[in-house]
Amino acid sequence: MGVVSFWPRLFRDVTARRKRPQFGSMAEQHWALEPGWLLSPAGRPYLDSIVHKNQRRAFGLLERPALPPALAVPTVTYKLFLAGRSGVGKTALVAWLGGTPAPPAHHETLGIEVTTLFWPAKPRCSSRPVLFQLHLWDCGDGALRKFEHLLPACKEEADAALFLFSFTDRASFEELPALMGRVLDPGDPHLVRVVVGTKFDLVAHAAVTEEDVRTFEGSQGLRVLRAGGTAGTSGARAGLARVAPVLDALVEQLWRRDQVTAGVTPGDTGDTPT
Amino acid sequence: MDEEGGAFLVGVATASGLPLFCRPPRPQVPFPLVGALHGVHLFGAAAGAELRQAATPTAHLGWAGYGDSLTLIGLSPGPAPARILDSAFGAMVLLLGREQLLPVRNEERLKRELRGCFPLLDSLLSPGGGWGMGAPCWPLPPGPARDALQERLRRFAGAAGTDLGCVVWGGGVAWLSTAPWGALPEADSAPLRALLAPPPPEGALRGGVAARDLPVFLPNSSPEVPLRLLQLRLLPGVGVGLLCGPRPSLQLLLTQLVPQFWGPVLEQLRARPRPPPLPPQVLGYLLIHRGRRQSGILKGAGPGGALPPPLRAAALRRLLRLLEPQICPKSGGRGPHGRPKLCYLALPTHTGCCLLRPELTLLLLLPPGTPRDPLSPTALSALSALGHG
Repeated sequence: MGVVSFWPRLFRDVTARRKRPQFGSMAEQHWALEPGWLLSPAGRPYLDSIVHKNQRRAFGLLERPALPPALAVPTVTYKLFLAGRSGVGKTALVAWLGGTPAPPAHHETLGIEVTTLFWPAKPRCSSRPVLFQLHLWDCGDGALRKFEHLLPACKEEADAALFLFSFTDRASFEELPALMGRVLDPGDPHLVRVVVGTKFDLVAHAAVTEEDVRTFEGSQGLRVLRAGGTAGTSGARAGLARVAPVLDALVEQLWRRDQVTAGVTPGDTGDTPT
Repeated sequence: MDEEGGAFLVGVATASGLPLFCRPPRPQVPFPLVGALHGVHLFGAAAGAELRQAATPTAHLGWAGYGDSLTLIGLSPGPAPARILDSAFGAMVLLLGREQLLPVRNEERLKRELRGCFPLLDSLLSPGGGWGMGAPCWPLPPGPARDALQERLRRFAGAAGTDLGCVVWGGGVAWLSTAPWGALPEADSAPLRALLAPPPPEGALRGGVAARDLPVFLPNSSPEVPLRLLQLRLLPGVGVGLLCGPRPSLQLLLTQLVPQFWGPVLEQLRARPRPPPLPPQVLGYLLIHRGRRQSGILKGAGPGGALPPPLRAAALRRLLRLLEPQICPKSGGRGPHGRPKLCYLALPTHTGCCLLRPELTLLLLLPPGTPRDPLSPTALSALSALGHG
């Protein structure tokens, strides 16, 4: 979905300046996008466009970050679907990423909730940043089982599926392969698969060890992102610093997939940069 | 119980007596009290009597049994627990469906599922939560702007394959709906409105949520077959609600229909709707028309020394409580002989004025010491401003 009509021009722009990236390497210099760029001085005007009164701005469906004409950048939209057992922290992860307060008490999300967030990032080989618009589709596990139409709705034109487990709930980690099998069809090769471990801040209660995670990454060929903390309640900048590594990694994988699909860069070896 | 405090609601599995939920959670209703209240109800039932209401010097109590398996108990400072109980059951049916609630098959599972209803139940029970369901809210005043938006809403809903749609501003301060939505029975539209427009600070949708696709059951029209409630936040504080069947997908709405229909009128939507042009001395109003309630608190209105805006909703509610049992029978505000009537109530802090017509009741909150003579033109002028002239 969502790759807008300026793609060819944008890619020409990007490819004209780029060196051929070395895929398969874990080194940071091989990212297609510059990690941490938004929090650097160069990203400041773009950072200001997604913050209001030291809080992350919540955007309606028809809104975009307001940027001066000189800084206007293309917008690339992605749809990401969150899957995970009930109570694993899907809604809390969306609130964490969006910089909004998490619900005070846990209750099952009754249907689909879509949250829109904007994340500016700069391709390593281009001088122009790109504004990534992420639609995060969160659906309660109970509702997903009860109403058959919800899973196809979540997967329709989706770009990525985020599989969640909780670091404090070993069962949620162990059932990840089954969850991925249940959600993904053979016809979903285009879907970027991302695994996110939630409640990483509660290390004292961790039921999943780093060794477990490394073994999983090795066997599945997927990198596990770690989320947790209080991004929603602290100031916007402190919160952004916590969520930036996760959001940078997400847009990196999606951007890389699109470059491969568009033939701008060669196919991936299956490894993902950190 | 505090006179201005909110109500409490307890749900109990009738057969086992197991408490299913208690809202709001604090201050907690003690478990022995829940047991005693349920026991009294069961005792009455065993003796062949149905206990519906009781009153103590500080609280009114209400019981309602649903399908011999679910009992709701309400504790309220005012004499309206029966209405609260039915509204609460309606809210539970809206989100879970009647089959899920009646009969109660698995109590532990039902307890978990009922948690999803808590935000809606809490807004129903909160002291500032309006008139049983939803925040104070007025329909968009008539005019060319409303007509254009109404036509756009009708075409948008038509493109989505439904004729049930509405636009809500500012967490429910104003709304606009298609004619079929306006014709929904109050039992269906009140909980839907509460779901679409919870009182601030939640606003149209929680936090950063921009859209929602929620299976809902209409308590009156479709309690067992779910429909889809699509809630779309176009701008902060401006949302569109659609009630539709399996199609279209939320994805189609987000990517095509919403930008196509609402993108061109973004600035029009952004302008906060003005309240209806009520006479300047009116501090707040409640209109009940054919059982539908519509209310508003006018924050800037009134002379110096008038009741401050935060206290106006409570004062209006108190007036209704005083007047309702005597002159507002459930048939819809008809006076004893069916003739229009004007009632007047002077209190140290405010003045109440109640206009009664067949199928219509208008309650106005006015500053203290308002003279009695001009009340009739004031009430008629207010009625005209609210579109019932």
